[in-house]
Amino acid sequence: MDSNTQTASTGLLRWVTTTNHKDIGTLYLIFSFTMFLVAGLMAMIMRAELYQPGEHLMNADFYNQMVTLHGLIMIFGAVMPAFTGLANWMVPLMIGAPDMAMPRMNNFSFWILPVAFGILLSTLLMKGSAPNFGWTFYAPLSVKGPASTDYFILFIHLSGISSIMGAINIMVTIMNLRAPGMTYMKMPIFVWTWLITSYLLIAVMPVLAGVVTMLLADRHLGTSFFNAAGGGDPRLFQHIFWFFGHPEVYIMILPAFGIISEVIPTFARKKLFGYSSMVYATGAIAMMSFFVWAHHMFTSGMPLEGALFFMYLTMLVAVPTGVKVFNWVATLFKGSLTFETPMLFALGFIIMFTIGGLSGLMLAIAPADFQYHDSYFVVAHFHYVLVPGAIFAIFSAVYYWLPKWTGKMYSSVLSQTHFWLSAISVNLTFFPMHFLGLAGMPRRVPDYSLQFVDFNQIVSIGGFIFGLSQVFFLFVLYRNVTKGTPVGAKVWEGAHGLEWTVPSPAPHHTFDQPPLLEQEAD
Amino acid sequence: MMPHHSPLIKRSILAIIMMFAFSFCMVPLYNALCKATGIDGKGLLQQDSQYTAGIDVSRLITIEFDSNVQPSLNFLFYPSTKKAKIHPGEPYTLYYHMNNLTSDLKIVQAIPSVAPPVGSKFIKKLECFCFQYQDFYPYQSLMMPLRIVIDPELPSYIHTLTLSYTLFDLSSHS
Repeated sequence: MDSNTQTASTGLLRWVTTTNHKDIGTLYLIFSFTMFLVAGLMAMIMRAELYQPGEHLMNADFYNQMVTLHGLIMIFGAVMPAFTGLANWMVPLMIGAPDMAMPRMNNFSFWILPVAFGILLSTLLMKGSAPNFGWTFYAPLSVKGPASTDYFILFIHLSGISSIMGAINIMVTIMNLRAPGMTYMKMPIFVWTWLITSYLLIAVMPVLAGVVTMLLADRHLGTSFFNAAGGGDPRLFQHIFWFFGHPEVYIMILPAFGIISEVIPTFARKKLFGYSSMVYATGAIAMMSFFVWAHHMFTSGMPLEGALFFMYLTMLVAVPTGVKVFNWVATLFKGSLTFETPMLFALGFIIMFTIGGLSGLMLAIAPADFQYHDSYFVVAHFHYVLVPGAIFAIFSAVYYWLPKWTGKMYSSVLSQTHFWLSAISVNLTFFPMHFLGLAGMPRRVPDYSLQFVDFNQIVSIGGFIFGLSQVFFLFVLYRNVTKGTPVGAKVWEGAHGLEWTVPSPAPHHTFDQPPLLEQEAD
Repeated sequence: MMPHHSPLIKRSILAIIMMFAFSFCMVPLYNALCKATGIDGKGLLQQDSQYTAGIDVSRLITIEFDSNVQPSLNFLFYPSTKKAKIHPGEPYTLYYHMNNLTSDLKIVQAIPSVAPPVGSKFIKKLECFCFQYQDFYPYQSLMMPLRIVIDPELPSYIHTLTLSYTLFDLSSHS
């Protein structure tokens, strides 16, 4: 990158003032991995406490703070910025744009994040306690929450503003800066999924901002949005929150679908099966996400007609998702498969995300949900779609594009060790949680009955191995930078797309002239 | 560069403002929907003093009476009967006992809620203390009447209704 650097500042200030999409993408990815380790450490603290029944290492209140911060940081600090970072790095390269549409806003939207998370983490040092009501901050618990709840509200506002600015930037880049001849239906799938994700972000992040604003008003301005004593309704909170919350879970998985749809064709050496059905399926999932929110609330009470409506609509989401899984499998079918590290993570994604999807269908059944609700079964479900789902897809993307970023190939032995350690330990961690939940262990508890000890110890050991495997990933990265072997422009011989036409490492400025699309037609 | 992007940016910002406003519109929407359909177990604050219906002697509905007090309010509040079995269409009267245990003048109101929620529109109130605010002098004690009829249209799968009141302190609001 050095030969091509044309920034005004050098040293650390370069990173603060940069408006280059590759620099900002790198910053996003480093930040998100840092937050991944921080929130992962909190998960380790929880698993240490849950290694044996009884309150040994911490009191219940500190445990609740760990639950809350782990969820908030993983969602808003690890998964979402990682996808935004990948979009920053790759979207301009994939559509042949010289940079993002609004480079200065890009810089601003990144640098809000460290401030927001500094505010959130500072609550751990405050008198009273950090937020301790879970990442869903249900009213009235959060209305009566500790004083640090106001910092939490500020954090949500800041990270929401950052997400919205990132989404506008990505959307405008995709819609306005595509290379001549790249029509919408010729865009790489990763770009498509991010375009749809940016619409979702613009639609629902303001709703999250609205609900925390109501919470703030209830806490300090004497309003009664959620306070029954003043004529409000705590259940209203759940409706508004999940109206944001359900599209939010698709925000965290649609870009992952895009990544897998890039990686699988490369290592199967076939074109993606059913490109247009992939696009329509992504759009359908995004649309449906607005009409299924109350499946999080079956036990909060709703009329039979409501429960049936949300139950059937939720099950319907499995149709476009099934189309995607079918297309991936059909792409693999009769392909010339090789199992490089990105492919391993992608295959792991398909298998384990499907497990998470199936437990999601079980939870969608309203009468069954009364049994599963607030049990470890739910924890198993959403960790299966988020860890071997979203996070494996992010690792797949990183291993897929890392040689493009650093210009060097990583060690296949080390990276595959990282994959196998992660894949085995992730199942060791989250699969027994299904059984714990079905046997009746409630979630968000620091203590449990004696019959759950064995499975909890397996889960904790699996969790520690998974945590250490991610530290090992740092070593893989270090060895890549120090000892990697140089690669050419086209890193993977089965890969297609404009990003493989620029040299590796990608120069600081690319596509100053729009590329000719014909060269890439195959 | 910017003029080229500005229509799209303006539309996005407009969408963001509209969605932020929409989140607040969900409050009256939710309340209107709940009131129209009676699905939240509330909406029982209107009086049906003229309501009459034929008595359906073929069914006997168990009705349970429950009472709660807002935690910060030092009041005694309980019904004269915890449970009764009545025929739909048959008026039933009971009393709620309220006692201000504080040395302050208190304005309170009891807010009803029904389980299962769909049952709420089938409980008709001929007379209820919950229709208005109640002023309580320090240590004052009162017996408040409640006279109800169960609508014979009550769905046949409902055998038990629970009518719960929560007493709220409105002194600071008035």
